[in-house]
Amino acid sequence: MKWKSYMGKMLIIDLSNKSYEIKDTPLDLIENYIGGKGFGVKLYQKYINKDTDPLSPENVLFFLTGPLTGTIAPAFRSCVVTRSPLTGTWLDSYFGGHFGQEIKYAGYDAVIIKGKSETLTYITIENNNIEFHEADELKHKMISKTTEILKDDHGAEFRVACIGPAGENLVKYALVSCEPMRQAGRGGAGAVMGSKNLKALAIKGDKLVKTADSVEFLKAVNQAYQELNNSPSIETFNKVGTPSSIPFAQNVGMLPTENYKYGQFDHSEQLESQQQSNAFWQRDIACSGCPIACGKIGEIYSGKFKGTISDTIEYETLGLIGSNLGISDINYITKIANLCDELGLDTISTGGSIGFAIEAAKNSNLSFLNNSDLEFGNAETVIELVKNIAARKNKLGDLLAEGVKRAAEYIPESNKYSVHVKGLETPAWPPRGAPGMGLALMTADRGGCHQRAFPVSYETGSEKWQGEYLERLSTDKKAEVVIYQQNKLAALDTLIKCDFATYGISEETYRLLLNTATGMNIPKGYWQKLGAKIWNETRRINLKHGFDRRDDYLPTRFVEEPLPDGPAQGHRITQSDMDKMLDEYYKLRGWNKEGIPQKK
Amino acid sequence: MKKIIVNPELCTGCETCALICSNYNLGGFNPHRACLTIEHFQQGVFNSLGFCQQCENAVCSKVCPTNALKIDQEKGYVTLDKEKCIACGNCVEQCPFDMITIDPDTNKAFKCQLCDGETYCVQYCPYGALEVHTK
Repeated sequence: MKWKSYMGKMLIIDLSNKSYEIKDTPLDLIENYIGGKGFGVKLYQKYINKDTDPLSPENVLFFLTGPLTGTIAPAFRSCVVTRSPLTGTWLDSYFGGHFGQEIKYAGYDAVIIKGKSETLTYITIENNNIEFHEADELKHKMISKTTEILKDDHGAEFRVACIGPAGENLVKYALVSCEPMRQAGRGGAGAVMGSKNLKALAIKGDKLVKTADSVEFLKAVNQAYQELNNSPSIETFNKVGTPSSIPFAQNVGMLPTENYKYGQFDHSEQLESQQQSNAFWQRDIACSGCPIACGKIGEIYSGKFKGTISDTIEYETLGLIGSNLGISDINYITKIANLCDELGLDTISTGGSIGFAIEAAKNSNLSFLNNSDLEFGNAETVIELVKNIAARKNKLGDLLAEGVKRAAEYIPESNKYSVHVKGLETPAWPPRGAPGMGLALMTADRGGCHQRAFPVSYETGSEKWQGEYLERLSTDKKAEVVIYQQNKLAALDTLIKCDFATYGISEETYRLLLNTATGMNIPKGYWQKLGAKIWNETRRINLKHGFDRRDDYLPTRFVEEPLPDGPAQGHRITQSDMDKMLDEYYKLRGWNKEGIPQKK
Repeated sequence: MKKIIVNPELCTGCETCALICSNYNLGGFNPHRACLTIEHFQQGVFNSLGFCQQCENAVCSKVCPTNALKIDQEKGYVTLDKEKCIACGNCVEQCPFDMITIDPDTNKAFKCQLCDGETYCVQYCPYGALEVHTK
């Protein structure tokens, strides 16, 4: 392989005839698209057609790594790319842990899975030894049990990616779980795995990931460590993890409450870090090679859920399962999150779907919604609903398993409170008091997502944009901030970076890490160009799937209902706000008024 | 004699120690190829690390037919002369802590020699979970 730190091979598995082939990783793919999301956009267009049904054997699952995955460089991850059964868009979903690193150690830059097995199957990959196994014993097993059985049967050194019952039952937002407790959470990659009758992948390898210039590479690694050490944000991630965002979101009025109706939650203190620290945090847990250790793990010490093992309940889960469902008891939230993790459900979409159902129960006469227990704050009912969604049990469970967009099509006049963008339930950053965040959700390539751009810190005054503070409620300059962030993050997702690490590691250090690891000579200023190229590609993919400008708008709640509380009380993002931002955004991207990229 | 000891309360399971170990000793990253071991329990609630104990009366050195393994009091660890190693596996079999392997690439015994005094695993652990203990 010309470029170091790549393994130079891709493993292509066809489940339909239980066969595989090992191909060279194309040099032009590496040189033009680096890895991760970049590999994803090219491979997606090669393997997936515009009409490919996401849950058909023709859909393809790509497990992708980046050049730095598996090295000691701090905080690099892996991703799953496929066509989303939830949205019908392109989907890239990222996970930490150790599974992606093991793909490299087994000798591959990517594992590509096609076809469909006739019966439930799992695959073991040990270097070049690929075996298909019957998975009867694993049917409907929870995530942790599945992992435990596979490690017992094949050895603890195997790393496991698997689905839970939700994936087997094709819940549209089922996730792929990569031990320990790291998930490709969003968009339903777990349902795609389920549709292929693939319960799990277990992988292990003894290959070395070698860098081009070990001395210079370790210098770049040390530079990255220094930057992480000097960052107050990283210190916060290390000490208290993402729950630290709760008081911030509450203060700025962006904490989703009762199906996004409100932006502040009366019991937000109950969701803060200290509560879960008291309830179960025993120690820090980190992904491969990561000095940040944002994870805090332990077992609930006492009470009804004593002994439940949990990693940090992240901000997104606190927002969507906590305040958005009116639940403030951290033990209940931890239990519900644990159930989602074990059943294999994305907590964001689960919380969004249940919040929608509770509001629908208040507003609809449909008999299956006629349940007095369906109200905000009723944690026991939420536990039952989560189980029913994963099992697609009864009318309500089955409908909510389809996600908010499809459920809303079934319930008359529910579009007023159905909250999603392109079918992806929105995250815990409702945008009525931050139009730039609105634009980020509107234009995110996989639907309503906060990880493609997150301009909130610029909008709420904690960061300057090009030397000046932006006016929070104005739409001015929001398009350029969103584009800058989208390009940067997409480019770094070719590596594949951890979102949190970007708060510390500079673009220049990422460049040095890549160059010293691979032997490439990526110039300064490359990230924006690479990112823009990738955004044009994902846009073209979504256009081919039938998405267009009409899909780039916010849900009615954020457009027509003024925010009832918080510092941005009374504000909403109007139709003309959205049109103005979209026009500007398209123009800056070189897309026409319809949002179609003009240059090849 | 010196050995590496671990404070398990501070270990996050990040495997940085094993990554730098494999890179120093073998020129590439793979935690399975390190001369230390990591086991994760209860989905990562606890991790158990294994290090060569650099035994005062190291059995590996006693069973080595070519004198490749030696207790070096001055250096403070059990040294391995790869030139002399014939990969017979006696040391692997006899080590009570399972801390010697035969490396598949070099076909030579592979054990911790404290990075010739540098102990990179200790240096690189981001959480201060490792230290060198002098007996």
